[in-house]
Amino acid sequence: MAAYCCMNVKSFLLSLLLLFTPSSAVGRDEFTEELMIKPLSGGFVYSHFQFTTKWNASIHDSKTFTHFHLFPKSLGEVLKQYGVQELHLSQTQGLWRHKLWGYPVHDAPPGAELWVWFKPSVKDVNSAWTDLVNAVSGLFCSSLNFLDSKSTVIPRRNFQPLGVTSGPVPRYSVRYGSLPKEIVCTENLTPWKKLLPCDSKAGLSTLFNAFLFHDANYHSLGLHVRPVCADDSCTEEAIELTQSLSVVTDVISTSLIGSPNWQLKSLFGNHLASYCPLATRSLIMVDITSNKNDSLFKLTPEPTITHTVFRGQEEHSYATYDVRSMLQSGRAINVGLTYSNNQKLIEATPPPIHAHRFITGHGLEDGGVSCLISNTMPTNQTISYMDVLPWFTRVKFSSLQVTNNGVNVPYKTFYLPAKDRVRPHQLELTFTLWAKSVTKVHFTFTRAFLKWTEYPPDAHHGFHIGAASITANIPSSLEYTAPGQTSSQLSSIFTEKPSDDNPRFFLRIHTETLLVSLPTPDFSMPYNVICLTCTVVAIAFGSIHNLTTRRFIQLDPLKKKGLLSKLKALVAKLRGGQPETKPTSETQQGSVSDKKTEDLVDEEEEKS
Amino acid sequence: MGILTDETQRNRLISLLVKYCNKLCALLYVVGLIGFLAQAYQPLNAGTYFSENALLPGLVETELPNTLLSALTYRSELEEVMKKEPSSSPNKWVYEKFKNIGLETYAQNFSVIYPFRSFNKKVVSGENVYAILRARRAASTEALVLSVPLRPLNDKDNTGTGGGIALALGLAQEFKRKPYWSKDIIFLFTEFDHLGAMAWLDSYHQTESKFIVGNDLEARSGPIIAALNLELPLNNVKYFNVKVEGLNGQLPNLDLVNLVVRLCRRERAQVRLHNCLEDKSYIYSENGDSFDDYKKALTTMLKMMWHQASGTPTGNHGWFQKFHIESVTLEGVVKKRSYTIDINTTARIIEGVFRSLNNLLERFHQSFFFYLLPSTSRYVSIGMYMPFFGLMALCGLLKGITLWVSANESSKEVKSESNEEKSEKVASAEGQGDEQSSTEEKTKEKKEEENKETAECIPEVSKDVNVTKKENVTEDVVEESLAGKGLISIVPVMLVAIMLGWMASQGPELLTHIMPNFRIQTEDMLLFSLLAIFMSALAYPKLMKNKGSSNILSLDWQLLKSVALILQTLTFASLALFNISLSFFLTAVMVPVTVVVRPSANKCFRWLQMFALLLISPLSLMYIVGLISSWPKSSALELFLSAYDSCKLLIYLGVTDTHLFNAWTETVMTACIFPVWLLFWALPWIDVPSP
Repeated sequence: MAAYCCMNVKSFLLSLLLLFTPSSAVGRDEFTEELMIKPLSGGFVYSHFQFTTKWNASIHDSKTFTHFHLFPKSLGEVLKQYGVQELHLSQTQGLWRHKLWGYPVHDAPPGAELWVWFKPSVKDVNSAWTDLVNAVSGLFCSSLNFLDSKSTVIPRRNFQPLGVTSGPVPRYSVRYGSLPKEIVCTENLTPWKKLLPCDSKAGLSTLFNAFLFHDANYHSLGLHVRPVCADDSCTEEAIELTQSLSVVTDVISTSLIGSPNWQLKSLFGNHLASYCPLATRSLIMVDITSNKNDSLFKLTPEPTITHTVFRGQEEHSYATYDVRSMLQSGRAINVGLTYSNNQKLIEATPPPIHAHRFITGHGLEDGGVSCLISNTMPTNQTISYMDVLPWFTRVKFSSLQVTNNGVNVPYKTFYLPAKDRVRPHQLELTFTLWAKSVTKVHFTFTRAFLKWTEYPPDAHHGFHIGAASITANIPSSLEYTAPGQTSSQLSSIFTEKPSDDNPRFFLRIHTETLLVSLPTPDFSMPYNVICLTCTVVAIAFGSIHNLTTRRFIQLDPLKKKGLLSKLKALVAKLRGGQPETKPTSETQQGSVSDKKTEDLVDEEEEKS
Repeated sequence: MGILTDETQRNRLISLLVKYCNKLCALLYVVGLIGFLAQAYQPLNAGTYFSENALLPGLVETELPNTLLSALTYRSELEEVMKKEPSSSPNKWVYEKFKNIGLETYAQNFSVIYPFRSFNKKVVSGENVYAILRARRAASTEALVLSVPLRPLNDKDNTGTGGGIALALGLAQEFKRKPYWSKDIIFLFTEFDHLGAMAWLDSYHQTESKFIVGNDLEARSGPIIAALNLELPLNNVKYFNVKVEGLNGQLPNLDLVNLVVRLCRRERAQVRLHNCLEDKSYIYSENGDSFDDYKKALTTMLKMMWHQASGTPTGNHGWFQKFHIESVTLEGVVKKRSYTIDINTTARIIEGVFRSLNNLLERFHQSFFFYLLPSTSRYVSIGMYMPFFGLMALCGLLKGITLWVSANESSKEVKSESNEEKSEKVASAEGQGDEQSSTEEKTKEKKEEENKETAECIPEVSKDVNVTKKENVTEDVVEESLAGKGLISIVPVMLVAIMLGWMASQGPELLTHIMPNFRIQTEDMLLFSLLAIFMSALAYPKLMKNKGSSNILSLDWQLLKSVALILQTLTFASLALFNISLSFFLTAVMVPVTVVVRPSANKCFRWLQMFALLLISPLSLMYIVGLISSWPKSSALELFLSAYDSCKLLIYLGVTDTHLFNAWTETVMTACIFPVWLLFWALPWIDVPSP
C-alpha cells in the first residue's frame, strides 16, 4: 500500500515537473533515419546513412538551447556559445570519383573540411572561429584546431548560406577551412555516432561496422546544421541537424569469389534487426535508376514501394523499404541485389560537371596547378571555382589562365594573395563552361623555403594542398542524388514539388587534394656537418692562423733587451734571487716576442 | 711575415712547383688513374646496404598464389594475338584486358615530329595504354608505376616484352584485391619504347615538348614516387639484368637498385649488371680479392661507366629519372635449353618490390645518387672515386697554374726590361740559360729590398694603412694591365674557338634548314655537316696566321695553354658532377696529350703532336667509340666500316636526343669540349724561334 502511495507521489511530481518545463522545446523534435544505397559502375556500391533531426525552434532565439530533447546537447551548447548560424563539417577518407560514381548526397573533399556562418550578432568573428574550431575538434576527436589563420579564408562568392536567412547576412561572418591531411578513423566515428538519439544501439546505426567502413574505398562522416523553414508557408524557423555517413564499397574486390552481388550482411557485416524507436521514419531506399526494365539486376526482398520521380528532365527510381513495418512482421531485413549477368554491370555515365586537378611540372623550384573541368551538358553552364593554396606555394597570379580548347575564357575573379605564415592564397573565379567541352584553369607557383622548424618532425610524404571546390546550379539531375534545398531528408525527393518547369539543382563538388614536395634538407646531415666542421675549426683554425700570420724573428741575445723582458728579469730576480738564464742559442725562435710585434698581431687579428 | 704573407716562402714554393711540375703532373695522373680503377678491387669498395629503413625488403609474406594462373593464361593468349599480327604492338588487346579486370583504363595518342628536315620526313604516331589501380584508402596523392614497352613480334632490334605484359596483367588482377596499397599503381604500356614513355611523362606533368606531342591524359594520380620498367620476353628467361643508367648519366637512388637486387636474390633468381656473371664469392664478400675477381669487377664497372658516359638511358627507366622519379629496368635475358626463371618467381619479385615501395613514407633521399657499381652488391661511392678523379684533373690544373705563374713572371721581366734596358742588354748577351738565373737573382734582390721596406714600414703601418692599401691597389692595376696585355693577345683565338663550338652545336640544325633538299639520309647529312664544320675548324690557326702581319700567332703560347688547361679542368670538373663516367673517360684520354702539347721548332715533334691532338678530337673520339662498340669483327676493313656506321648512328642519336629529350651529351661535346680542344689545336701552330 505504501509502495503504491509512493508511486503516486512520484508520478505526481513528474507531472508537475513536466508542467513547468518550457513547453517551447518539448515534442517539437522530429528524427528520421534513412539509408540510401546506390549501385555504381564497376561493382561499387554507395551507401549513404542519413540521420536528420528537425527541431522546430529558432536558432536565433536565445532561449532555444536551454532544453534539449533529441537534438544533442553537447553540440547545441557549442552552437549557442559561439553564435553559430550554420555549420558544415565533413571528415573523409579517400576520394570521391565523380566521373565513375556520379554525385554523392554531400560532397566532401579528402581530409576534414569545416565551414561556418556566424550569426550577424557575433562581433569578433575571428576569435569566435578560433574558439569554435577548438570546441569542434574536441567534440569530434579531430585535429580541426589546426585550422588557424594560415588555412582559413573568408569565401566571397562561394559557400553562401544553405539554410533560410532573415534578410541579408554580413559578408564577413563566414569562415572556411580544410585539412587535407587529416586521417579519419574509428576515433572520429565514435563521438559522431554518440550524437545520434539511439546511438548505435538500435536502428540503422546498428549497421555501423568500423572495420568494414575503413576498408572501403571511400567513407565520409558529415554533420550539417542549418536553419530551415518549419513548414511550407515558412512563417517559422526550425533547426535542422543532418548527420550523414557515406561509404563506397568495392564489392567485387572484397568478396571472396569476385561476385558483384551484395546484401546488407556482406556490406555491413550484419542484418538489420531493429529500428530506432525515437525515429518517426526508418527507411531504406535503393536507387534503381540504372535498372531500366529490371534488365540488369533484381532486388530481394521485394521493396515496400517503388517511387519513380522526375527531377528536371531525368527520371529517377527508388525502391524503398519501410524498416518499421517490415520488422514488425518479425524478420530481420537483409536487402540484397543480384545481377542477372555477372559480366554485365552498370556502366559509368559521366555526370554533367566533373573536374580533375593536378600538379604540373617537376623539380623543386617551380610548379603549377591545373584543373580540367568538363561540362558534358549540351548547354553552357556558369560555375564558381574556389581554390585555397597555402602560403608556401607562391602563386603567380599573372600566370592565371582559363582556357577552353586553347581559347581564353572571360572570367570574373577575386584573388587575395597570401602573406607568409599568416594567410593562404585565395582564388575565386566565376566563368562559363561551354557546352560539351573541357575548360582548363591553370596557374603556376614557386615553392618557398621553409624555416627549419616548420618542417614536420617526422618522415613525411610532402605537403598537402586542399581541394578546390566548384559550385554551380545545374539544370540536369543526371547522377544527382541530393534532395532539394528545402529539406535534407532523402525521402523528400519523392514529395518534391518543382517550383517551375526548369528546376535547378544546387551542386558543389570538390577536386583532388594535391601533394607538393618542398625542398627539404636532410636533417641528419646538417647535424653531422656542424659537428665535424666545428671540430675541425676548433682544432685547426687557431694553430693555422697563428702559424700563417705570426712573424718569427731571430733574437739576438747580445742586443739590448726590451722593457718587458727587463721587467720580467727583474721579477724573476726578486722571486728567486737568481736571474732567469736564457738559452744562448742564437737561433731560438719566437718564444719571446717584443711588444711591438705582439701589438701588430693583435691588430691584424682584429682586422681579419 | 707568415707563410701566407711571406713572399720569399711563396716564391720558393712556386719555384719548386715550376721545377718539378712535369714530374708532379705525371705522378698525379698515374696515381689518379690507378686509384680510380682500383676502386673496383673488392677490399677497396663497400658492400651495398639499405639506408631507407621503411623499405623492409622481403619482410612481407607473399600473398600471390603459388602459380599465378592468370598470368599464364594471359601469356598464351598474348602469344596467339601477337602471332596473328606480328608487325603491330598489342595495344588494343592490352586495353581490353585491363578494362575487363575492372581498372580505370585509358589510351593516349601521341605523335613525334623529327626535328630535322630530311627527305624522308617521318612523323611517327603511336598509342600508349595505361591503367590506374586506385589505392583503396588513399586519395590518389602518390603513385608507383609499372611500365612495360609494347613491341611488335617482328622487332628485330629488341627482344620481346610479352612476359612483362602478361605479368603486369596477372599482377594487376591480384593487386586489385588487396586493401593495403597506400599509393596508386599505374600500369603503363608505351609504344615505341622511349618515345611513348616520354610522351606519357610529358603529358602527365604537362611539360611541353616541341617534338613529341601527346594528347592530354584523361586521368592521373599524384606525384610518382618510383617506377619499375620490365623488359621480359615471353619465355625462357635465364637471368635478369638490372639496368640503372639514365638520361645524362643520371642514376636512380641506390636503395631502389638494392631493393630489386635483394629481392631477386631472395627468389634465387640470378641478377647481373650488363650481363656480367658474378661469382658467389664476390657477392658475399668472401675471398673476392683475387686478381680474376678484380678483372671481372673492373669489366663490370667499366661497362657500367661506358653506358653512363653515353648519356642515353639503357632502358625506359631513364626517362622517368628526368622527372625526379627513381626507376630501374629489369631485363630478362633469354637463353634456350637451360634452367629458366619461372613466371611465378618473377611475379613474386615484382610483388615484393611494389610492396616495399608501398611502405615508403617519404621520397627516396637516404641513399646514394652518385655511385659506380663494380657488381650488383658492391658500390663505389662519390666520396671514394671523386678524390682520384680530382687527382687526374688536378694534373691539368697544376700545369696550367704553373704556366700562368711563369707567364706572369716573364711579363714582369718584360716590365723590368723596359725599366732597365741597359742591364737587360747585358743579361741577354749572357745567353738564355743564364738570363733566367740572373733575373731570378734580380727579382730576389728586389724582393729583399721590398721586404726591408715593409719591415721599416711596420711601426707606421697602423697609421697609414690606407696608404698601403692604395699602393696595393695601384700595384694590382699595374699587374692586371700587364696580364691583360697578355690575355688580350689570346682573346681572338678564344673567341674563334667558342664561335666554332657554337657552330658545331647549332650548325647541323641550321644547315639542314638552309641547305637545298639533297636526297640523302638525315644521318649522313648530320655527319657531313659536322665533318664540314670540323674540317674548317682545323684550318683556323692557319687562317689566323696568314691574316695581316706575318706573325699573328706568335702570341704568348704559355698563356694560351694555361688558359686552355684551366678551362679544360673546369669543364671536366663540372661535368664530373653530373656524369662522372663521361668526365673520367675524357680526362683519361685528353689530359695526357693536352698537358704535353706545346709549340716546337722541331717539325717531327710538331707533326706528332698534331696527330695526337687529332686523335683526341671529339670527332675521332666518336669514331673510336664506334670502333669499340663494334669490336669483334672478322676483318679489319669490316670493323672500320661498321665503326663508321655506328659512329654515324651515334651522332644522329646524340643530336636527335638533344632535341627530343633534352640530352646534354652532344651539347657538351660540341659546345664545351670542342672549343677547349680547338685552343690546344692552335698550340703546335705557333712559331717559336729555333734554339
